Amino acid sequence: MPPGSSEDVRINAAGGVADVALPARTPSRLKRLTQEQIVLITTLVLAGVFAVLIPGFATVQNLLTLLNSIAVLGILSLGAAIVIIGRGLDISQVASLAIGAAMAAVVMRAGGSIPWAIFCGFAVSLAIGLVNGLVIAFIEVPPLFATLATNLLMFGLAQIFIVGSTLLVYVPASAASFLALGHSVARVPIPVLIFLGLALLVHLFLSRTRMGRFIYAHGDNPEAARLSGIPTRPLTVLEYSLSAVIGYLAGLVLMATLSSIDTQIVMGTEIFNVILVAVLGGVSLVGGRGSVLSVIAGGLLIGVMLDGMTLLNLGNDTQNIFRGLVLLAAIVGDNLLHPRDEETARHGD
Amino acid sequence: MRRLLGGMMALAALVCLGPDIAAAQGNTAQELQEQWKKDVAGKTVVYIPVAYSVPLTRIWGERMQMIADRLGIKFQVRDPNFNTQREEQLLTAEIGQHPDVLIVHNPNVQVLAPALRQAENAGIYVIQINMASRYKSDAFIGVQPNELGAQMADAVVKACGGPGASHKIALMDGEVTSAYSLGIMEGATSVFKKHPDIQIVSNQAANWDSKTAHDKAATVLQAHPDLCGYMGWWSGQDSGIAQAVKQAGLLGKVKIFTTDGGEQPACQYLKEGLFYEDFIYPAVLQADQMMSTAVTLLQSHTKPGTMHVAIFSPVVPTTADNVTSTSCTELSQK
Repeated sequence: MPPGSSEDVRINAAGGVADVALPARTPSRLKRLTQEQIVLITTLVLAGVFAVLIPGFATVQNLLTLLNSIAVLGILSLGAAIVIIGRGLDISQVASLAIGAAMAAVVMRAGGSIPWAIFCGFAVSLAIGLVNGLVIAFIEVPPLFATLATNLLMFGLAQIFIVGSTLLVYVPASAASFLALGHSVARVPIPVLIFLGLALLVHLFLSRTRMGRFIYAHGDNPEAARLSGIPTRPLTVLEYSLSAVIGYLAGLVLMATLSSIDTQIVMGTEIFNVILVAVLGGVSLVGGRGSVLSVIAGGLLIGVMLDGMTLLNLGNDTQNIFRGLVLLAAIVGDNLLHPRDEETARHGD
Repeated sequence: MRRLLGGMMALAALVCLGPDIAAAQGNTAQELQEQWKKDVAGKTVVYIPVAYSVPLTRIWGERMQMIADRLGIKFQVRDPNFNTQREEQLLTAEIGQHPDVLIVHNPNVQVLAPALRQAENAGIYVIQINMASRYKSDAFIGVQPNELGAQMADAVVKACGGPGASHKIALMDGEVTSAYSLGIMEGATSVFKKHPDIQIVSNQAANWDSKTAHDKAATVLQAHPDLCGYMGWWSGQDSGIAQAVKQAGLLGKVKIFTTDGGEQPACQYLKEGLFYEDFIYPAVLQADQMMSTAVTLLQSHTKPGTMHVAIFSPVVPTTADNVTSTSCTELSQK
C-alpha cells in the first residue's frame, strides 16, 4: 500500500500494534477508533453535557458563534498540519499571519487599493515561508530552531520597516469592502465559510493529489521518500510556503473580524494553540499521520470548551483546570487505545 | 481726593522703586536659572516601562522625551518587552550605571520592590508609575484603579439601571491577577453591590487580547441579545467587544464602557458610536507630571527615599458628545 492517504498510514500503524502486542486477537471495535474519532466523541459528549446544563447552547446560532470563534485558529492549524504531516514544525506561522496582515493594513492606510494591499501582504508572508523552507531544506537547520529564529527576525524587521513603533495597526474605515469579510452571509459568518472552504481544499490537496501524498511520504520516512525519487527539498519549501500563505489568510480573516491587527501576537503563545489543535486531533509530531479531519476535530473540541465555559460564566482558573483535564483525557484515552509500538516508535513520539 | 492722593503716591513709588524691584526679580530669576543648571541640566532620567510597544507606555515615553530634550535632560528608555525577569535585570543594571532618576512601571506589586529600595539606597530618585509596588519610593504617579472602577460602575448603573433598560450587564476583565484589574473589580463591585437590580450576566477575562474579548462577547451577546451594557478594562481589548456588538447587529443597543490613557482609535470609536463612554486618564498629562516630579526631586536636594509623594491622575469621562481632537493622542509613526 503506498504511503499516501492518512487512512493508509493509520491502518498500518494500528495493524502493527495488533500484530506485535496481541498476535492472536483482532483489534476490538473500540481499539480501531482513530484519535480524531476519539476527540470527536469527546467533543460530542461535552456538547451533550453543555446542552443539558445551558439553555441556548444547542442552537444553530450558538453553533455558528462557536465556529466563528475557532475559524482563525482552525485556518492556522490547517497550515500547521501540512508542515507537521511533512515532519516539520512552523513556529513562525503567527508571524506570517500578523506581519502579512499588518503589511496589507499599512498599504490600505496609505491609500492603496484593497487588491494591491492584499497582494503586498501576500508577498511578505510568502517571503517568510520561502525563507523558512530554503533554510530548512537546503541548509538543513532543524525546523524548530529555523522557524523560531525567523519568527524573531521577521518580527523585528516588521517593527522597523512596516508597522512602526506601536505594533497595532487599524484598518481604515475606507476599506469597508475588506472589513465585510468579518461579517455574515445569511447568518453564517464569512470566516466560518472561509475555514470550511479551505479545509475542503486542503483535504483534497492532501488526499487526492500526488503532491499531497508525497507530503505524507516525506513525513512518514524522509529518507525512503528521497530514495524513491521524491524531490524532498523543493517539497519542504512548498510545505513551509503553504503554511505561511495559509497563515496570511488567517491573518486577513482576523484583521477583518477585529478591524485591526496587533502584531504583538507574534510574541504570544498563539502558536501553541495552533499546534495543540492539530496534534490533539491526531496530526502526530513524528509526521506522516493525521488529516484535515484531525484539525476539525481538535478545533471543535477547543471551540465547544470555550463557548460552553463562557456561557457557564466560569472563572479563569476553573476554565484552565477544566481545559487541562479534557485535553489530558483525550491524550490518555488515545494512549490507552493505541499503546506505543516499540518497533516503530521514534524519538520524540 | 484721598483716593487721588493715594493713587499719585502709588505711581510715585512705582516710578522710583520700579527698577529696584525689577533688579531684585532679575537676580532671583538668575539664581533660579543657575540652580537649575546645577541641579537639572545634563542629568540622566531612565524610564523602564513593562514594554515599550503598547500605546500607553509609548505616549508617556514620547512625551517625556520631548520635554527632556527641551530641558537638556538625558532621557533613556529600557524595554523589557513584557519579560518580568528581564525588567528586574535591566533595573539592577541601571542601578550600577547610577542615573539620577529612575521612572519605573511595575509589572506587579512584588517583583521590583527590593531593587527599587536598592536604587534609592544607592542615591537614585525612584518614581513609580501607574502601578505601585509594595515599596513606597520617592513618588508615585498614576490612576487609582478602585476609584476608576467605581466611577465606571456608577456610569453603567446610570445607563442601565433606569426604567426601560434591561438591567443586564456584562464585564470583560483584563488579566485577573494584576493589581490594576483587581482594583477596578474591587471598585466596581462596591458599586454593583448597592444596586441589586443590576444583573451581571457574564464576568470573563480576556487577558488584554481583543480576539479573546471578541469571541467571548459574541457568545455572551448571542445568549443575551437584550444586554444593556458591557464594561471592559482597556479600550485596546474592548475594541473586540465593539466589533462583536457590531457584527451581532446590536450597535447602539449595547453600550460599551471602557478606559485608557487617551489612545487612538478609542476616540474614533466614540465618534462612530462603537464605544459609549471612555474613562480617559490622559497619558500626556501623566507624562508631564512624571517629568515635573523628576525635576522637582532633582532640585529638592533631599536624600532619595525620604520623600513619599503621590500624584493621582485625573479621569475624564468622555462620550461622543464631549470628545475633542485632543482627547486622544496620536503616536508618531517611527
